[in-house]
Amino acid sequence: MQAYIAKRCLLFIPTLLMATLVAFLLLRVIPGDPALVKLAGETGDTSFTPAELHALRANLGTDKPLYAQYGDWVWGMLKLDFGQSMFFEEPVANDLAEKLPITLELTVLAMLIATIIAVPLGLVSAIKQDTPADYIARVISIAGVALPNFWVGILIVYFLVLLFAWMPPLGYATLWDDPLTNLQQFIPPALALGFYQMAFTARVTRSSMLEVYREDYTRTARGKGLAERVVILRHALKNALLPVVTISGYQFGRLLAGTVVIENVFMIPGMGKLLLDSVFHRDYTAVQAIVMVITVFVLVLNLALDLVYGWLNPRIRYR
Amino acid sequence: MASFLGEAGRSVPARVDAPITRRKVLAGTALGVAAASLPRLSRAAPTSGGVIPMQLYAFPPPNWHPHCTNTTQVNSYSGIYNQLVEYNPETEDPFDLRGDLATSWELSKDGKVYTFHLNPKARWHDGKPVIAEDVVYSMDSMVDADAKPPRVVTLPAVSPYYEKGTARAIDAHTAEIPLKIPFARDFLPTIADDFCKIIAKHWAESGIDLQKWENAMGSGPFKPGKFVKDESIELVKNKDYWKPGLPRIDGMVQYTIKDKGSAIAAYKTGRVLETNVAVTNLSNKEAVQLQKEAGDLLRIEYIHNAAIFFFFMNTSVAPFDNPKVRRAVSLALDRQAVLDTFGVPGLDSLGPPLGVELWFSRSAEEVAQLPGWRQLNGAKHPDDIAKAKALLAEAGHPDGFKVEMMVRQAVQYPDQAVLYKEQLKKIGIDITIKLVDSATGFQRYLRGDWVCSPQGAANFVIGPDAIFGRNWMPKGTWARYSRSVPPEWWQEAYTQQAAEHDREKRKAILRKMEDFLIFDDPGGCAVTYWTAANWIFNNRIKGIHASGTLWGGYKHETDWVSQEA
Repeated sequence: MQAYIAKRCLLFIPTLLMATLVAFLLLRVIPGDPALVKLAGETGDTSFTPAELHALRANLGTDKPLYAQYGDWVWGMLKLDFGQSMFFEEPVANDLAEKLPITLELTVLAMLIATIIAVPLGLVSAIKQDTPADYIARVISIAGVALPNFWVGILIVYFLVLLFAWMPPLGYATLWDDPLTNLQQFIPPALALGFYQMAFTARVTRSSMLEVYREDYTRTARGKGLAERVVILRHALKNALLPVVTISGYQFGRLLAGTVVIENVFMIPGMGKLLLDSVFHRDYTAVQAIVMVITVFVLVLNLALDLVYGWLNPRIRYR
Repeated sequence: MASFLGEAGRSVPARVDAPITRRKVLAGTALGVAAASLPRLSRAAPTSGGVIPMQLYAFPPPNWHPHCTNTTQVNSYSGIYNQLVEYNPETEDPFDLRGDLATSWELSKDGKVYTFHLNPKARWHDGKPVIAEDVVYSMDSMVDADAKPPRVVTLPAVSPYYEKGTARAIDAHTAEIPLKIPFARDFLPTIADDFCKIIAKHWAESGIDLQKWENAMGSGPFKPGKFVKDESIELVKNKDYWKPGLPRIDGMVQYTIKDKGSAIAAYKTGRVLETNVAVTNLSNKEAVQLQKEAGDLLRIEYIHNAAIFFFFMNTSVAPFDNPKVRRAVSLALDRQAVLDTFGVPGLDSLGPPLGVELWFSRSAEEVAQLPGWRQLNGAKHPDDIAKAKALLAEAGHPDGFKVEMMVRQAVQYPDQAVLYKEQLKKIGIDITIKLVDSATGFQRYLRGDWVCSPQGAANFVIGPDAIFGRNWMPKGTWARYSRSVPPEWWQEAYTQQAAEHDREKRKAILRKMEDFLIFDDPGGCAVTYWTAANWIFNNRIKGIHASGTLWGGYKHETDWVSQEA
């Protein structure tokens, strides 16, 4: 097991290096210039001279050759120095420390809501196969997979306004300081964010449950005269949920990516919003740092999930 | 009072959020009818207190030096500082100017020197008095061409009138500002704009970094409050403000809401009570629709002629380096179709370079007869198309030409580009649309690496100096991008009209200048239509009206919040 973990950790190095290259190069490939955005703002309705633009580029370090910019950045990262935001001229690490917990809260809440809805939905769909309940559950889950989450987000905002003349309060409130406001702010975006996850998990639960339902050990449990509820919950569901755990790592990464859009629709000041704003600002250092944090997060999470999966399923052996 | 207005991090309580039921609507309607039938006794008296939640359409770049900032920043910091004069937000006359730091002012008989008398009660936030030396320092700062960071807005706006180093303090509360152009009529409206702030000399010279939000120290009705990057900006009441009874509110929190749907939702639910400025994410068509849907909840005020849209041409590269080609384009554009597609009757207008129905403009009837603007039987006038084709042939393009149009993905530019493409196809100009993000677009403008583009420009002042100065005079923002250089006589006429204090004589000069742009060469900007800017208010917000310019009237010191709409 320890050898396996060490091997996986070693594999992080080339993955992270590749991620730094992709993040760095992609930003330089897309057109735009951080100095220009800073001078011109979002409207660009200003005037300045080329000399002023060059001076700002020198100040931001974007006038250096690409290899030098890359080298400086990677060297800084090795020292856990994420650099200064090119737009706000403040340490990016401060932003990350502030925004990461917000995004994690949203992601965990989305996952929680999705799972709480998805597992019973998948379960009902499987045990009531080919009944109206199954059809309804399948329609919901297919819709969830098909609809983009930003659209679901907009629909949620629209219906809240239309039906209740209400929208979440503005201005981020932390869970610890003002839990009621915090939940008002986070539940609608979590629903939008988790809708796909819910649908996908429900479908996986359903198909996995249908498979397990026909296994010998389920039939044996039923043959022993156990109540159907016990057969389902203790024997079938427990095993049917193994694939759900497997996909949850992948889903968590997907949810993190989804926060980029959802945080903007619901004005949640997390890392997703920071990422999108930073892209618009062409804030190279901020975008690179966020991409790296997400990469590390997903890598570690996948490793942890593989280990948990082995613990849940004793047939798995690590080499 | 603050509680019902909503504060950062707090929910707006049920009074604003309460679901609208049919019973409430009926009861409200009955009350409204009853109230309307009563004689009007008096207007409600202004009340004090409360924090107004506002919408900020985009989060500004982090530079808070008042003289180094662009549109979005001005809007957020304006309440921290004062100008010498200001657009009066309390009247419905959008061009009414009144003293801000200045109690009075006079222009010398020869029209060369303005003398401003400062309010002796005016105090900086640190308690020191505002003195004439501060005015002199600020004027020089606004036009300092070598300043770092650059004076991106104040320099082009103020430098046509004021030469650095020429202002002087007569005594502690009297400052003299000489004019480069005698009698310059647009000088006062320009310095009334919110970017012409008077800053404290002692503070600026203390070595403090004025670009930092926390260092913003002015004489205005508000002080900088909590600043949450990319989320919200708070301004809190200056309790020692030198204007008696002001500001009326305890503060404001400006929340960044970029998404159009979220912004509409925030207005409809009362989460925000006004836009911090007359710039929103909504087009005028959308604003009109919102007003219809929201009924009495909201009022939307418009700044007419706030901006101009044009077909933008790089006059330094082929084929638009040829004035005949530029004129052909101007003739072939179907402006009425553009206006019908994007404009709103009564808000947007079919104006030539100097607009329509303004004191210096042509009348709507006159505009309707102009080549390039006229119509025949409700369609583009065929003579204009024929003339445009002939001009292209003279310019060596009898079969037209192919050209790439760079289109910034902002405002309505991508949609406008499609329409321009269709219209210019009629004279053989085959446009390929190249979409770019806004920053890239400006980079290419700056480099000259573009050929044509749809573009718009906000007016500093609704006056000929600003309109011609920004768009056609060589140092103007848009003229610099288009590399447009009008003939010598035109540039001389520009200075001549700015100095002319006889309005009729000035109009005659302006007409000649505009005629050149219409009948000879539109330069880099073939104007398509003039547009209004919209400013959204919850009807409970009182004491403020939109000014006559996109850049004025944003201190919010007279705003107050009524219990009722």
